[in-house]
Amino acid sequence: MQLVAFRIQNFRSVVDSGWQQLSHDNITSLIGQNESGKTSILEALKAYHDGNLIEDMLRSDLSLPEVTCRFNFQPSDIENRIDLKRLDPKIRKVIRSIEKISLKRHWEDDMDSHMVMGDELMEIYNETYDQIKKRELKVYENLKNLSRGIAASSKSVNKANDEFESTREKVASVKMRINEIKRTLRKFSGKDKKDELKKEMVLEKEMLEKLNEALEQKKTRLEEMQDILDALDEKHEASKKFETINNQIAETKEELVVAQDNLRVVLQMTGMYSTDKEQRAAEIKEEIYRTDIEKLKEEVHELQSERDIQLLSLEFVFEGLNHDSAIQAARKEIGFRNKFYSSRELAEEIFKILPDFELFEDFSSLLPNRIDLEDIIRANKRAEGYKAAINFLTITGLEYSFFQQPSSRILKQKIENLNGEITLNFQDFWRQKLGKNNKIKINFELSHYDYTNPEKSGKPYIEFWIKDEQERLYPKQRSRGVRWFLSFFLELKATAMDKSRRNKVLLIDEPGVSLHARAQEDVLTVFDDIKEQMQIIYTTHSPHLIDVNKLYRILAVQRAVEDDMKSETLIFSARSLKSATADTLSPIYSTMGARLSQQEIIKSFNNVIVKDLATYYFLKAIIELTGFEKECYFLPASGTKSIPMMVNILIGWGLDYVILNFGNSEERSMHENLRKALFDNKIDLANQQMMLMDECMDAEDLLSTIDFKKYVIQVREGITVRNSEYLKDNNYSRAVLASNFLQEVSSGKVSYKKLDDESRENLNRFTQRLTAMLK
Amino acid sequence: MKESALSRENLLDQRRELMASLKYASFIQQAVLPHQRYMDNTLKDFFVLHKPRDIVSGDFYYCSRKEDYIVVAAGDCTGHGVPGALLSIMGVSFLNEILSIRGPVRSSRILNLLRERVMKALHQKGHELENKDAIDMALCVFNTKTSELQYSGANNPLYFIRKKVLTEIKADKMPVGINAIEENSFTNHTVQLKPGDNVYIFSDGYADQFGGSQNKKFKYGPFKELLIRISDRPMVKQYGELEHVIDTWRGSEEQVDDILIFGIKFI
Repeated sequence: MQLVAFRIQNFRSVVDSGWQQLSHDNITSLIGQNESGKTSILEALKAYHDGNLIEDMLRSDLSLPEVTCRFNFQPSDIENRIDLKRLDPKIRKVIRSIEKISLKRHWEDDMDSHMVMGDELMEIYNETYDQIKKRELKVYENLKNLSRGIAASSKSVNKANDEFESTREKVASVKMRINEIKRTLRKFSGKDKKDELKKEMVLEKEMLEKLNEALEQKKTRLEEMQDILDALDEKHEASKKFETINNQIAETKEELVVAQDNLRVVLQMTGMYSTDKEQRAAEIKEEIYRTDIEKLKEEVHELQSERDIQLLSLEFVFEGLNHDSAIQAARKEIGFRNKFYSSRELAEEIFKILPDFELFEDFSSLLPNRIDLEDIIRANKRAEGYKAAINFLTITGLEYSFFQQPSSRILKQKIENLNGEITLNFQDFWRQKLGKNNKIKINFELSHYDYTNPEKSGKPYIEFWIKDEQERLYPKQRSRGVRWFLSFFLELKATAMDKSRRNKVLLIDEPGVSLHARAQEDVLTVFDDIKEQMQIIYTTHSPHLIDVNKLYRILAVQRAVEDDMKSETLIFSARSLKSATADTLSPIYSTMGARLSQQEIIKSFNNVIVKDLATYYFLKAIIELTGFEKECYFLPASGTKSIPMMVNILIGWGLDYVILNFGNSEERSMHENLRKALFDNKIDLANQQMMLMDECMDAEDLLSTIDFKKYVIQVREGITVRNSEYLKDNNYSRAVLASNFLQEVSSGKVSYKKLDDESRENLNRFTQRLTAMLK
Repeated sequence: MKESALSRENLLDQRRELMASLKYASFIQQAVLPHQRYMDNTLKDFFVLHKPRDIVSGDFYYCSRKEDYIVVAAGDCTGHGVPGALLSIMGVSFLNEILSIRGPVRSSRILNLLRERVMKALHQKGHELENKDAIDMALCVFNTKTSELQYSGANNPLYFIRKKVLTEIKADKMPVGINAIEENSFTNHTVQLKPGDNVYIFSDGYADQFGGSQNKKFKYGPFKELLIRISDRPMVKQYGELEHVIDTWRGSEEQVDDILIFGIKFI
C-alpha cells in the first residue's frame, strides 16, 4: 500500500491542511521558513502511525486532532489479510470498486486515539450507525416518558383505591342498616310500623344492590390500574439496571482519568530527574499507571458492551417483552451486529497492513557513543540513540540474548569476530573522501560502568566506535555530517532487512542541516536510489535538497499571516506554489540562482551578494530612487547563513563579487567570519570586497521613520524603534513589503524628491560607499 | 440646614484636598523643567517668562546640552491645567530620551523623533475617534562651535532680531503628534548667528491674552513691536518689560491661557 495523500486537522499550528497529495515518485519535500509548521506535519504523520500525542501538539483552543491518510491499494491487499466473513457485503462491494482507501486517526479528550475508516466507507457505516442511533434515541424518549407514566399511574391507583374503599364502606353501612331493620321488625308487632320498616328495607336492599355493583366496578378499575403500574414498574426495574451500568461506566472513567493524569505527570517529568534511581522509580510508576490504564480501559469497554445490551433490551421491554426475554433478544441482535467489522475494527485490521511510518530525528536516530544494555532490553525508546543502536543490532543480526553470554571472555571474542565483519561501504552514497578507500568500520564493545558512575556501577553498556584507516573515534567525535550520514545509512540498511514486508514511509526532519552542500546533494541521490523501496517525506530549507527539475515533489508550508507565528499553517502543492510567499520559496529561488521571472542574470563583475530577497528588493528600489549610475547586480541568498554558499558559487565560477552586510548581529558576525575565512582577517583586503553598513541593522533602516511609514508599511502609528525592529516586532513580511516598495518606486509613485532629508542623506551615503566598491 | 452646612463643609474639604494635590503636582512639573543654575551656565544671557494660567501648566520649556550643541525648546501642549501638564512632562522626558540616542543632533530630527514617541504614547494611528492631543513647539539647536542656529517648528514660529530688525521663521503647519491628514518631516531651518542677536520662541498665550480698553487680544503685531523695542536691552530687563506689559494689558481680565516666552541673546 502506498501513502498518496494526507489531511491534518487541529494539530499544532495546522487547523486543516486540506487533502495534500504526495509526490507520485515517493519523494516529497516540505519547504518553508522556520516555524512555518513543517516539522509539525511530520510529527502529525508520526502520531498518525503510533497514536502518541503530547499536550503541546494540541492547538490552544484544545480542539481535538484528526489525521487522515489515503492509500493506494489493491482489493487483494485487504482481502488476503482480513477475515472476509466479518466483512459486511456492502463494504466488500465498495472496497472492490475503489482504488484508494483512507483511514482516520481521531484523538479523544484523554489523548487516547482510535482509527476509523475514511469517507469512502463511512457512508455505509453511518447508515447503520444512524439507524442504531435513532433506535437509541427512541429508548431514551421512552425512558423519559416512563417516569412520568409511573407517577401518573400511581396517582390513578391511589384514586381507584380510595374510590373502592369508600364504596366498600358505604356497602357495609347499608348492610348494617338492613340488619338493624330486620332486628326492629322482629321486635315490633304494630302493622303500621312494620309496613314502614318493610318499605325502608326494600329501599335499602335496592341501594345495597347498586352499591355492590359499583364496588365490583371499582375493584376492576383498581386491578386494571394496578396492572398498568406493575407493568411500568417492571420497565422501571429494567431501566434501573441500565442506570447502574451507566454509573459504573462514569466511575470507571473517572478512575481512568485519574490514572491518565498520573501518567501525564510522570511523563512530563521524564528526563528531569537528577539521578538514575529517580528515573528508574519514575519508569516503574509509569509502567504501573500504564497497566492500570489498560485494565480500566478494558473495564470501560466491557461495561460499554453490557450497556449497549441493556439499552437495546430496554427497547424490547418497551415493546412489551419481559426483561429476561428482552435481554436475550438484545444479546442475540448485538451478537449479529458484531458479526461484521465495525468501522473501528476494520480500520484497526487494515492499519496492520499499512506502511510503517518511521521518523528519523537527531536524538534517537543518531548513533550514540554508548547505550545501556538495559535500555535495549527494556526497549527504552527515550534513550539517546536507541533507534540507531537497534538499527545497528538489526544489521549485525544480533539480539539482546547475544549479550547474555555468561562467559565474558567468549563474548568479547565473539564481538571481536563480528567487528571484523561490520564494514560499511559509503562509496555508492558519499562522494566526500573518508579515509583512503571510503570504507569505515563500526566497532562495538561491551563494557561495564565502573565506580566513577556509582548509580550504574557494574551495569553493562554497549560502546560504539567509528573507525577508518587512520583513526578510531567515538561517533560524537566524528563530524556531525558523517555521524548523520552513517546513522541514516544504518536506518536504510536496517529497513531493507526488515522482514515485516510492510512498506515504509520515512519521515526525515531537516536531513541536510549538518551536511556540506555536496553531501546534501548526496542525500538527494540516496533518496532517489531508495524511493522504490520506501516513501520519503522530508523537510528542508536547503536548495541542495531540492531538485529543480522535479518541483512536483514540493509542498510549500507557510503561516497564513506570514511571520505571525500564531496564525495557522497553510500548505501549497506544487501546482499552487505561486500562492506561496517569496520567503517560503526562497530555497527554490536559491537553487535557480535568482528569480528567472525577473530576468536576473549573474554578471562577471559588480555582483553584490545580499542576505535575502527582501534586502534585494529594498536595495533595487534604492538604486532606482537614487538613479545610481554604476551597473550593479544584487544577488539574494536565502538567508545570512547562505551567503558563504553564494560566495562559493561565484568564486567557483570565477566571478567578481561584493558582499554587502548590514549591522544586525547575524550579518555582522557573518561579515567577521567571512573576513577571516576569505581574507585572512586583512581588513584592507576585505574592504575591497566586503561592505558593512553597520549604522543600519537592515536595508529598510536606510529610510527615515517617516518615509518608511509612508511608503513601506503605510501606517501612521508612532514608531520609536528602528524600522527593521518594528517589522520584526509586528511580524510583517519583509519580502512582501520590500517587493511592494520596489513596485511603488518602479511605477514612479515614490520618488527621490518625495523623500525627506534624513532618507536622502542615508541613501546618498549608502550609494557613495557602494560606488566606491564597484568597478 | 444642618445637612447643607455639612455638604458645604465636604465640598470645601474636597477643594482643599484638590488644591493640595495640584500644588504638589506643580512641584513635580517644576522639577522636570531645567534648573535655573543649569540654564545660567548653559545659556548665559536669557529669560523665561512662564506664567501658568492654573497651578500646573501645559506650556513647558526645555534646555539641554549635548556635546557642542545646546538644544532649547518652548512647547505648548493642547489644553492647559492637568491634561496639558501631563503631556508636558511626557514631552520633557521624551526630549531627554531622544538626546541620549546616538545620531546627528538636528532640530528636525528631534521633532520627528518626538512626534513618533507622542503618537505611540497616545496610541494615535489616524483613526477618526482617537485622541488628538499634541504639542506645538519651537525647537532650536545652537552649535556653540560654528554659531549656527537650527530651528524647526511645529505650529510655533521663531523670531530672530538682529539690530532691531525682526525676522520670523515660520513653523511647519503640523503639531508634534497626529496631524490632520498626514505626517511629514519637519523642516530644518538654519541661521548663522552673530553676537547681539536675539532669538525668541514662545507659546500663543501672550499674543492671545485678552485685555486693553476694548478687551481684545494682544495679537502678534504689537508683540513683535514690543520685542523689537526692547531687543537692545539686557534679557533680565526684557523679561520685566514683557511681564509688565502683559499684566497691564490684562488688567482685571482673567488669564486665558498659559504664557511662555523663551528669549536668548547670543553673546
